[in-house]
Amino acid sequence: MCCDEISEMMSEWLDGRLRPECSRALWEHIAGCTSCAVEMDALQALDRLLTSAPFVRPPAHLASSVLMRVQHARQARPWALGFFGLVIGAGVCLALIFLPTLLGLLSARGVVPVLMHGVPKVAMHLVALAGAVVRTGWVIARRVAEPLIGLSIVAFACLLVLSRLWVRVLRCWGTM
Amino acid sequence: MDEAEKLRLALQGDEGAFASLIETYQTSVYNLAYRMLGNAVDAEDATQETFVRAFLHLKRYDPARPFRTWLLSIASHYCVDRLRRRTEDRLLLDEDISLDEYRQCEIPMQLSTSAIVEQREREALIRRLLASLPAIERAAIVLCYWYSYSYEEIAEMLGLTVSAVKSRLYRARRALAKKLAQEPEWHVLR
Repeated sequence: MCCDEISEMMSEWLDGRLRPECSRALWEHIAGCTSCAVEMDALQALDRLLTSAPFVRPPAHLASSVLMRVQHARQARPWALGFFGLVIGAGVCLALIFLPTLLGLLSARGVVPVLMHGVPKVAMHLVALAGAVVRTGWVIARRVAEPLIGLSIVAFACLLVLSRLWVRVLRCWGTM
Repeated sequence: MDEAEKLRLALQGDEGAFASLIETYQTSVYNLAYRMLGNAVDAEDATQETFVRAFLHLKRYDPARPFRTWLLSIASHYCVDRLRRRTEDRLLLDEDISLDEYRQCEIPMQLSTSAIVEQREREALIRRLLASLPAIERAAIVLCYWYSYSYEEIAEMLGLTVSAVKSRLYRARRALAKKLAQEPEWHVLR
């Protein structure tokens, strides 16, 4: 086993996750390899340092400040939703008020006739594009589905013939 | 009142029941945030944010999992995001741990002055070591050492595979051991 594999096994050994046979192999290797022995020593020292570190206690006021923030967040949520509703509503109202004025200004500058002429043309192009996409899809679907349609017709016919034969057999059975 | 009952009430919006859950789990969440972020101010903020998120998304909690695991998962993700957002680590690496922060550690108060100083230096050393790790590796080390979670649990909490957790712990340990060996203080402390 090479030193890199042994190095990976050291980490698992520290977590108590290494199988006993692998643990034996690990310690046999360490006994004969100075660099791995040094690495294991360093890892064990780190392990001791981290396992000896205590839990850090929170400050005494933490629970009450957390609860205050929770209450604040709880109250803020419906308020935030209401605020966004208000903003959208105000936007719609302003648009309704100012749109006629804006349209008037645009028509005065000759923009509206251009829009009136251009928008239907763009819409027609978009419809033509959508039609082309649908037609292409239909052609691809037919290419894929045609052999399947043929097969399913043959299968259906076979089933029909077999069921008829089966009915005849049953009838003959009944008359016997 | 047992935990399931507290959770049921908290889900219905009972703040008293949720306050009781905060009391129970604040130390776990705060310690994780402190070890991840390296200072008391950020740890306090992260603890508050964790509980706010838990309260607002309590409907998503799966009762089949321990509540502490769910909370620590929220805290880990928050701390990892926060560390990634940090343009520069605000932790002053050369600065020693403050006395107020040191008092928060669960250290027996009957220790001698020299033992207290030694423990303080160890804490400062641990902070420096953890600050040298990338966010996810830091989270894996903290969950492994302070909470004794298995590879599978850490994987679930951090959204990693079990083999990714193994390799990250391995890489983190190697990096930390190397850094520790270079610390002059460690040769005095050990």
